[in-house]
Amino acid sequence: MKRSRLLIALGLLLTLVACGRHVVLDPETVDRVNERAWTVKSEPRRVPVNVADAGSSP
Amino acid sequence: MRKLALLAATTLLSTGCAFANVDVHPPDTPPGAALAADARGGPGRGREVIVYAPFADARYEITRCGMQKNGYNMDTADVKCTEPPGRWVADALAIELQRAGYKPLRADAVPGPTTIVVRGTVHQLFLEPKHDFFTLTVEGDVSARLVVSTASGLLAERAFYVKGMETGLASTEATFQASADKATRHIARAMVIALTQLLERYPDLGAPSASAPVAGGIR
Repeated sequence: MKRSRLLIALGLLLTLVACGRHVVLDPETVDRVNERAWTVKSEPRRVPVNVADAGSSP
Repeated sequence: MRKLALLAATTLLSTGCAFANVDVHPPDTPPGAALAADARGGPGRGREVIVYAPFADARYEITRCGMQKNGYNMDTADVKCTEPPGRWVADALAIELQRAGYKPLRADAVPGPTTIVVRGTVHQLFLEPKHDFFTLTVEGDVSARLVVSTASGLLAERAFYVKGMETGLASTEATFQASADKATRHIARAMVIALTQLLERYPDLGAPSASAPVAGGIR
């Protein structure tokens, strides 16, 4: 009888401590955190070298 | 005594035990021929990009890449990454750049004035199961910040955050791996699409000008 009570108490304890952390974010939060655009802090200067080749290599 | 053992076992099983650690690895690298086929006519147009690998690791939990949980939502075991997440995300980006027609160079390549240099920081790579009524979904969150620069003066930054989800009947290693694969591919694609959008503004950048040879392997 005493053992059964102990087991029931153990079961209740396991249920009560069921407070696992949730580390991953909700989809809505992910959308908010994900940035929609680049933050350009500095623009490139024009460099004449190889400009004609830009984007032309295979 | 037998009744006691049976009760103990039932109690333990009712918690939905998941006490074994799980290993996850980066997505398998596609064969070179498949990458070359994808790269043809891709938006990268052969632009040279140096991806500095590994990315910095700024995760909140650096000792593991996720957690196993039981039916009571309790943290019961760890998910371990076989590769450090900084290397994992950087390599995934380099492969996706190659697939999109860019020319990733080794990190020891000397950048020319217009060579695009990408550095990054991984802020999250975490997998955890979410229990539904009959099934469970393993959610994988990957977050990273990229800094793109050139010797000619470009400096741009952007944060990326994606979620990969895989639904299964149990939180097995395969379910975790599928979720990790989805999240990794998702963030690598998002990064390449964003990089292409940025470089459309600067068509001069990425011209073949780096003095060191092209990487045989990306690492």
